[in-house]
Amino acid sequence: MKNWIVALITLLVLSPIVAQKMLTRTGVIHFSSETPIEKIEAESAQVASIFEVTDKMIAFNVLMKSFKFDKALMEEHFNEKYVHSDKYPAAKFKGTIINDLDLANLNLNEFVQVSIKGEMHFHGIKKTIQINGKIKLNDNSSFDFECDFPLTLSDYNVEIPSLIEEKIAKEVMIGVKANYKKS
Amino acid sequence: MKKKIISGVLVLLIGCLIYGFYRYNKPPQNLEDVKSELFFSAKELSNEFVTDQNKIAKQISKKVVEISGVISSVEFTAHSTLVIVGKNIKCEFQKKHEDLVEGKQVSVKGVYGGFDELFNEISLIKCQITD
Repeated sequence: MKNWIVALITLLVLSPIVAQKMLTRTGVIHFSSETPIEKIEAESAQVASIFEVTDKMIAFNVLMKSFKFDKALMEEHFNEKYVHSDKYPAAKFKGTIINDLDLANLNLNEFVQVSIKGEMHFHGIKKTIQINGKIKLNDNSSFDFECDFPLTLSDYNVEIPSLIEEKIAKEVMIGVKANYKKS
Repeated sequence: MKKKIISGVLVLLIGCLIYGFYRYNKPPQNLEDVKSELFFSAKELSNEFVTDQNKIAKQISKKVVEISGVISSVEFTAHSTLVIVGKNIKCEFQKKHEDLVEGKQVSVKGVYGGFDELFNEISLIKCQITD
C-alpha cells in the first residue's frame, strides 16, 4: 500500500517534466528560389510550432500570407497565382525525431544533428518527407532548432507558367529557425 | 505629321515602361494611410471564429480589419512585434513596438493572414496602431 502511494506521488511530481511541451509563435521560415535570371526570397517570422521533448514530436504551422516579400507584385503573385493562399491558407508539418537521443538531457549549448520524419501538408497535397536539422538545449532550458531542406514545387502541384519558367526554380530552398520555450 | 505620330508612340512607350518599372518595384502594401473597413472588438471577432470560421474568414479576407481589446502577450522578433490581443488575436507589427505592453487597451488595424490551427489564433498581418 505504502509503495503504491510513493509511486503515485512520484508519478504526479514527475508528470509535468514527462509531458514537456515547448512552443514558439515566432519561428522564422525563409525560402529562396534562385535561377540565373532572378532570385526570389521571402520570410515569415510568425511560424507557430510545438515541440514535445519526450515524445520527440515536432509540429509546424505557417500561414502563407505571413510571408514578406520585397515587392508587392511578388507577394501578390505568390499568394494568388502560386500557393493560392485563400484556398490553402497554411502549410503544416508534423513529424517525429527518429534519432536515438535523450533530448531532455542533451549536452548544454551543443547542436546535435537530427532527422525528422513526418507529413508535410502544402497546397492541398500531403506528402511523407524526411528533414535533416539540428537541435540545441540552451542554458535557460529553451531549445534552438534549425533546418534547411529543398522543396520541389511540382510535388505539391504548384504550377509555374511556361512563360516565366526560367525565373522560378523548380526546387526552392526552405530554412527554418525556432527557439522553443516552455509553455 | 509622321514625326508627330512617331514621337507620340515613343512617349506612350516610355510611359508604359516607367509604369511597368514602378509597378514591378512597388513595395508591399503599408496600411498606415489606409482606412479600416470592418470593426470588431477582440471578443466579437474571436466569437465569430467559434461560430463559423469559414464564413467570417471569407467576410474579412482582403479587408482592412480593425479590432480593439486588451493586450495579453507581447513578443519581439528581430524585426517585428507579435502581440496577442484578447484571447486569440495575433497581430504582427513590422517594427519593434516597445510601447506595447501587456494589459494595455489598443485598437489595431491589419489584414487577415489566416487562422493558426496549432494555437487556435486569428492572425492579422501588416498591423498598425490606430488612435
